Amino acid sequence: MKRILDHFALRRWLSAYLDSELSGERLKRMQAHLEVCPSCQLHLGEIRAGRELVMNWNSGVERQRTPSARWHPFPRWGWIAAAAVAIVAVLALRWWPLPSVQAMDVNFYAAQFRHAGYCVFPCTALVDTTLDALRASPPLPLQYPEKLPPGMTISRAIRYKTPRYEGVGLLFTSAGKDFWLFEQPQAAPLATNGQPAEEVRICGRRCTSIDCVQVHLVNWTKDGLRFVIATDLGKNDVESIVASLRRWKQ
Amino acid sequence: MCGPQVAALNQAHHDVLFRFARLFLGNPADAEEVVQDIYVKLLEQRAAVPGDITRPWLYRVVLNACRDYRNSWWQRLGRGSVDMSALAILADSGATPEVVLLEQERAAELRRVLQQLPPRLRAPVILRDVEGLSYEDIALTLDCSIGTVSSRLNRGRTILARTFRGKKP
Repeated sequence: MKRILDHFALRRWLSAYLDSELSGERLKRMQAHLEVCPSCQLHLGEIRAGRELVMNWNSGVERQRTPSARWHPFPRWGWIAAAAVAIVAVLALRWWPLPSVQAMDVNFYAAQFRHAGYCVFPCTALVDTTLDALRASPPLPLQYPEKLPPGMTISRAIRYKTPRYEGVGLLFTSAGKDFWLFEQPQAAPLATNGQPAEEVRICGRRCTSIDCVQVHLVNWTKDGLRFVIATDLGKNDVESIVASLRRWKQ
Repeated sequence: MCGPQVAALNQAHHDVLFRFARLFLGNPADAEEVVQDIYVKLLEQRAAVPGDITRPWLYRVVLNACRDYRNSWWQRLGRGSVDMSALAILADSGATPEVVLLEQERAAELRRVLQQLPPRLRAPVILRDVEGLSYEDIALTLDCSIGTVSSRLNRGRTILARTFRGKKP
């Protein structure tokens, strides 16, 4: 009778026994039961075989991070569905869910690029560049002056792309603090100018969540560009920087 | 969670997240998509993040994202992606095509069988036999008891063994 009771009580613990996750009284009972129960011995053998299959699997292939290619078989009715979805998507574009301004974080994009080779939305491409390279072949109709404003240095320059356009980001250091300046085509809709924004448009979308990095939008339309400054600095600091940069750009 | 924190998470744990998602979903393209979705949710603060990030929390996030992805309208449309990583490996590695393809065949077969396991059995098998989590951590990840972890492993491993029994050369 005890053997039958043990059989049902201990059977679910066979994997735990195999993986040395049992201890104390339950372990002793399992060892004693296995000696006298051929059914549990057989079951344990199958569990062990299944475990070894996975554990011995040459995971070297599996662990490689490879560029992936994908192909979706697409039946005829699928095209109709896709067309309907596309129409709805176009209509819904203005009311799309609101992303955070955090999506502009360049360090995150850079980390993504190192790992996966691409960015998450809204960034689709990001490359480091130099001011000299930008001067040589600007992606936007902008001429970069030879001299920076006093007290400012550029520690990083990037070119990025979103589904809508290409832009440039410059990481400045001024008064011991860093801030990003993003330049975007004038066509990119910006709702708020020159103020810390509670709700802004950036990368063509409304953003409502601003956490680590405050975003200041600057109504700066020289050469067909608008500018976005991402910084932790206060409003007065930003205004001073903007004045300095405006002189620099002009 | 702000950008630098997500970047740190990405650098420290991306491989683990991707590997688990790939095994759970069965192909790398879907896995990349799921992991990217996780980052976006974290960036947009649509997912709660604990102060101390643990492995069970990470796996739980991926598992939930995989389930969401499986339930998405695109997946329900039946558009499973085809894993063509064998071709990519062939292009990148110095191994002979025969060796690569044999390895791939075996890996693909096991992956296919893993996909046939119900998700509730597949997850503990991957977490234990590939990721090496303790039963306690698996129970935390799956939000179940340790006894349930053990019984699900029993069933998952048994199915794998029986499926492969007739396939050995």
